[in-house]
Amino acid sequence: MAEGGTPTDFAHWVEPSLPILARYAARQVAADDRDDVVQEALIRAWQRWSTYDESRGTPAGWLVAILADRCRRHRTRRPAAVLVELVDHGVAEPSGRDLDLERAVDGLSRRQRQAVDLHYFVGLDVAAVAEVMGCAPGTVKATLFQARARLRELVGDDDG
Amino acid sequence: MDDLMDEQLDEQMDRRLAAAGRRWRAEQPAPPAVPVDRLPGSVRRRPRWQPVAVAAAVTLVVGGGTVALVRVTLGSNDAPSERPSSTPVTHGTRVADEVVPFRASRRGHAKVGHRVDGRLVTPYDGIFATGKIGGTLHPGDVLTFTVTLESSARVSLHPCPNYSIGFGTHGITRRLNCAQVPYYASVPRSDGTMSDFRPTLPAQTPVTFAMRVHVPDDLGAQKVLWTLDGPMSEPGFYGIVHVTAG
Repeated sequence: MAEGGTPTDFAHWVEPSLPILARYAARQVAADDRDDVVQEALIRAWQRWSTYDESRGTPAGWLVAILADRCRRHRTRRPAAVLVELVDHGVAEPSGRDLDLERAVDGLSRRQRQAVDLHYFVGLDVAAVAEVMGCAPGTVKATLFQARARLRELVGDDDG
Repeated sequence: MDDLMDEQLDEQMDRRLAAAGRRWRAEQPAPPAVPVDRLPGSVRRRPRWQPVAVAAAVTLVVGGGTVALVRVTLGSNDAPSERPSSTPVTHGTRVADEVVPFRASRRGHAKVGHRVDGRLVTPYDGIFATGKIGGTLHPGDVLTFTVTLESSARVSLHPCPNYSIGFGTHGITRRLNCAQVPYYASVPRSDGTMSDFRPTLPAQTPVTFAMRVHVPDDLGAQKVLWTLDGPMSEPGFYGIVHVTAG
């Protein structure tokens, strides 16, 4: 176990990574399910905390990898219709967002989408993305390059 | 020349993605808290539900399998550690000691259940719901009330059920705030391992949820109907709210 050993120690250890986890979940599941999936992942991480090895990666990378697994499980155990956002009078329309680009991101392959989400939207650097995706940083760079090329096709080069 | 052009276009897309990512991150709500009270080995409350009184864990035997059930007790330090054996009953409404706070969660799943001999059967059919709705309010006010759910058998709240509130001719469907139900259960899987702790409605134990809904513009006596998992489902109850002009 990395530090301490009580749930409170774990909470302190996890806290710096919470914004990253929340962002990743928000990219993967419906907005209403974000908190539940993050909390499920944290429970799973607590159960596996003793297996964390700091020489093999950062806490954020380790936690996001667990979260990615929970997101996959969440998506497969629920019908696709669940992911459709329903009416919510409390949420304002997004302002100033690049909706064309965001729609185009949905058209990427699963692997490209994951790399783009982790790097550009969640805010991880290439090394951390590689840790989560289980590949070399060079592979992440290549995937991101291919994703950007595909996005240019989807939105048109002149739209930028 | 083409390579140079490609490189410029790639950088342009890189900047555009980075800008979109920054804007998106700025719009994100605060992350959830670490569920310290749900970490196996811990029965602590979340800080906002402090002070913690006592937590009790019991083990039940159901259908030959062991179900680990954890109850987290809320309330002040001098509150009794267990609910009294006879729960207070007021106007036919059973009220639990603790109220699960309101959370405006949108409906979380498609209608659950399956048909048996043409009849829809859901996991929530054994739940009995009580509550008291009434009063005089103005359009735009917030009607608050509580709903108490109880069942003779343990009912998993995973997936978390939806509920509907019909207010006159208006209606809204939301999801219960299962994340803050103070009971969690872990059930055995087919491979012999135990599942994660999930919110649960224990047998014979009322759990009360706070409800809030905005009063629509229609004036007069309005029937307010609360139902679990869909407007046409049981269980449910209703009351009359008088809506008067401001």
